[in-house]
Amino acid sequence: MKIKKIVYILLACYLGTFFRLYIDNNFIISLLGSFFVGFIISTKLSHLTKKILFSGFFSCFTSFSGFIYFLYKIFHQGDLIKFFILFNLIIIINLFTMYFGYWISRKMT
Amino acid sequence: MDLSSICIILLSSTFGLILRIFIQNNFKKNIGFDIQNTSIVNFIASFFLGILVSLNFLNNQILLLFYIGFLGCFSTFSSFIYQLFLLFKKRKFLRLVLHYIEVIVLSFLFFYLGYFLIQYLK
Repeated sequence: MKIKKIVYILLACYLGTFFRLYIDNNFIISLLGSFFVGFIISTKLSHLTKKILFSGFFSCFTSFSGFIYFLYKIFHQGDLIKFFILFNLIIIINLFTMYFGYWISRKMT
Repeated sequence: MDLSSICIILLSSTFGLILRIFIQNNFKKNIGFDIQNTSIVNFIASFFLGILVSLNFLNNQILLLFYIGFLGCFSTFSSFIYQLFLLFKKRKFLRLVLHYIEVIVLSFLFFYLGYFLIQYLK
């Protein structure tokens, strides 16, 4: 049981990594990730499936280091106002996308 | 993309995943305001990212694969947004803003810690 769970999480992780490589745009990736996390939270999947999806697939699909690297590139150009607006905007948009996904999946069920 | 780079990505992503799950399960720290273990993962990831940026990873094939595989699987953006979402759902807006500022400021601090460490050692 334990081994089986780890193998499933690893497979989901590889799938997420290659999807991330294929799309190769950090903003779209984070939007898709937040939308589907919000969508899946309130559905009636089993605990094991949710754990595989969240800690395997979506955590590897979205990456915080890509986000920080993007912010670093903006910060390095020296444009502080653009930097400040962008990082607030990204987080607020992602938060509302997650809420939107949650709202849609509650409407459907 | 050839076979060996795919192998490096798979190996490093396995390593990153296992390390992240280990940290998320085993470390629970409360220092004043509580620092969740997902945030600890993100701080360590931004520290490594600072080291990589300082080593100029875009010109180095192996470091680039390490960035894609290890750091991409080790750090998680969706869990960070999920924590903010949980606070948002409970209507704790002050905690939300505090947590958000704390994560961004601390991860930038750790990023520059790694960055200047390598700059200093060079």
